[in-house]
Amino acid sequence: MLDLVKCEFWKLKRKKFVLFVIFSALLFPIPFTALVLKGNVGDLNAFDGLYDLLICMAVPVMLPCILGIIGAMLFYMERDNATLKNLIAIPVSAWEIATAKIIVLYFISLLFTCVTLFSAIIGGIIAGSDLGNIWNKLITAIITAILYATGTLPIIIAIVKFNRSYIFAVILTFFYTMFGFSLAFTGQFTSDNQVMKVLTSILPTPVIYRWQASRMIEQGTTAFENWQPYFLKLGIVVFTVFILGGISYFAIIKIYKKQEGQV
Amino acid sequence: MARLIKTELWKLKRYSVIWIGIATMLSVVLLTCFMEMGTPGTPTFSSFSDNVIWNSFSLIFPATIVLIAGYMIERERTDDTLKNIMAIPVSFRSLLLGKVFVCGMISVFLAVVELLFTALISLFSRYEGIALGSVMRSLAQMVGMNCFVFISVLPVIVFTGQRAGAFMTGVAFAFFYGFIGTFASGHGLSCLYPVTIGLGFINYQNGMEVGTYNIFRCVVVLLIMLVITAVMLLLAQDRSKTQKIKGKGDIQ
Repeated sequence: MLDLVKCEFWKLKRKKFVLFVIFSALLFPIPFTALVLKGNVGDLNAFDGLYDLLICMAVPVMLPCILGIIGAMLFYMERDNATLKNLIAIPVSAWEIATAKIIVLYFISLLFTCVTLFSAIIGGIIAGSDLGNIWNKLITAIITAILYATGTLPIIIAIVKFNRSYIFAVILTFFYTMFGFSLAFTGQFTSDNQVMKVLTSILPTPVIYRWQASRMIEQGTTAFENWQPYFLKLGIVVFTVFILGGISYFAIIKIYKKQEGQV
Repeated sequence: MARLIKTELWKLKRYSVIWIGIATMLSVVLLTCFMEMGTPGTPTFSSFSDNVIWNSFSLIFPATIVLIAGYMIERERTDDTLKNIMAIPVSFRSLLLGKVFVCGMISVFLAVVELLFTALISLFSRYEGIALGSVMRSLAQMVGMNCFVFISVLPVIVFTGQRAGAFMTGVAFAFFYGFIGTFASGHGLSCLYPVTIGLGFINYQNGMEVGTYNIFRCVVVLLIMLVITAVMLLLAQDRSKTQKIKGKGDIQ
């Protein structure tokens, strides 16, 4: 499996994807650092404020998009180059190929959040603030990376299933990201509407946001008290996201196996 | 130039990418309708239309138009037709200008589609205040906003269009560029941030709130964007990597 993951990275190297991920991860820190330097994070330490802004606002918007685009690149690569039959002839089974590609997505997610943390450190240094506990933030970045990578698997099902153009995959990913963003960041989880309550309790982005908001809002404040009923504990978030991710993983394997049969 | 635009329109008929544009417009209207469901009170047609405009420029339209433009340019490379066009000879600059012009027309078309979906959903959801006057006002606002957003992403289109396979990076950047508009607008920078200058020109009021805009600043930023695009177009050339074969010249 490790060899397969390594092969996937070699293949992606031709597409200069690492630069693409780093470029995307460094986009948001620039305006957010400007916001922090203007003093728009209240009483928070500049580094803490910048990191929270990036993890809670930039990562949910940018990371699923990047994972969707790279997911499409990974899964369409064999089709575009007609190499799936060669891999099957080695023999490598379809589930191994699909699993290796999904593992690559987790690595990319990790790279993205680590670059985000690094940019927050640079922003914090520019703002001249105390960097505090970086290890704690690194753990949060790792958890966030795993959660968002798992949370993006449902859209990978659609990308693999429809097996259409890159444009289609990109638009599908954008819509999924927008939908999750709208539910999480426009406060739809505070709505009395039953549909909203169900969706904001099962879809990855709002569920993850409800955990991250509990970390971001300072305890003892009025905002914390108002939002407390909507906060979720990490255990519940992991459980919900992994159930959805697990179902998605098996669906991806099944669809990919079916496509292998058509080669 | 008229011929170039005509041929681009013929080519568009073969591409399914225009349907992607229509689908994104439908998705942004449906998303806004969905968000209204979770918001207390019943929206009016005007407030719904305002929310559609906001979601469109901040979430999807910049990326969509860069995607459509990038796809139209990239197809000449993937279908290997760029060398034939250059042999006619049509310069890469003229070709790019033709495509940019057609993308401007697509922006207007997508605004009309956006209004159509907004009106249909409003009728279906029985939102109040649908009258000819309010529909025409929304149409003017949507067309205006799409055109100004298109002008703000023109440098991205021209820059990535010159480089093979770069348009996906352009799409990712356009997505970010549009999204940051919400922060710019929230910090009183609507008239300075290129994506949001359209809000000033269309006098966007977001339902009940009253916003004031410095139109002079909006005009200055608009002119800057146009000048940057014009300079980039003047210097435009196909910057794809060339494969050199000794004694046989360069092959694109």
